[in-house]
Amino acid sequence: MIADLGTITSKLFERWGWKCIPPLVLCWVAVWPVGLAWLALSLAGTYRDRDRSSEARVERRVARLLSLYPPRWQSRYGQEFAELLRETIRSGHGGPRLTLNVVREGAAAWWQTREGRRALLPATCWWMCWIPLGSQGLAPLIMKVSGGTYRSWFAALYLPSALQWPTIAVMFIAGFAMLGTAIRGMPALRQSG
Amino acid sequence: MGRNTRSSVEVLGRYAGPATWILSSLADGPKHGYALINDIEGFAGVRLQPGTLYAALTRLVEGGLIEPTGPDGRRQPYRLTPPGEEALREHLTMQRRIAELGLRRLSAGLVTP
Repeated sequence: MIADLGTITSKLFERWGWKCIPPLVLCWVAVWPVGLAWLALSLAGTYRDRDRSSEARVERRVARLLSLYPPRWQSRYGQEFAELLRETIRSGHGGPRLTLNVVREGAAAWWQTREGRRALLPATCWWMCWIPLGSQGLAPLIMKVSGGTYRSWFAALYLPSALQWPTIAVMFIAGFAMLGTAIRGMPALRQSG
Repeated sequence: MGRNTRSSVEVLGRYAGPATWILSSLADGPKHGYALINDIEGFAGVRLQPGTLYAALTRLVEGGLIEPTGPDGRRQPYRLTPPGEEALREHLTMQRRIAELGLRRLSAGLVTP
């Protein structure tokens, strides 16, 4: 991958000369560290403001676990289930098995609801559309344009050259179709919480 | 056994095991979730996870086999309903018949190592 970044950089340099250096330097030297520093500071701020007593930790965990259930289920059983979770965690039975169990049963409870079933397709499309759009669409497109030879996991670049552009186009079409499905299904996603 | 003759407990599918334990536990009086888990662990040797317990409880409530009693603080005890009592009796009777048959066949020594 580093070799390919080198290829891209040299192509940019051939095209725009020294003018391409400041934005590249800005990207690789400034943007990433600033982004990482911002992330670290915001995480540190959140951690500093957090109540670290054992009771508060239990309450946070209970709230996280409870949020895995549909709102209607929560309004009917939420309070008593939260109390059971508290008692389970305090009694020393709150290990990863509890989390896995609540994740599984929460998903099953979602599946029981009409809004949960209706939200499944748009949610799947939302999480998956970035594969054809990004790593199988935009990334091989950049590689083709820049003349890079690194094929990595870009499926289109393993095909005969006549099929590479059509494959990239199909990936974009599939990706945008999935993104469109996700955007159209946003009301169902919002309704499902 | 035909589909029409399945008991209310068997209709619960993968929750039929926990449902039987819950109904058996409630047979001696109302209990809330944590008391149910401890009681079931005591007599069945299985510690039900809260998610599994509440999935089965939800289905039993929806099926009318159990019902909530008045809340006990933040806990919610449940008790058997008459249809729940009937379903449990029917299910356990059938289980006993199966157990007796299996034990009889085992003791007849028909299984060869």
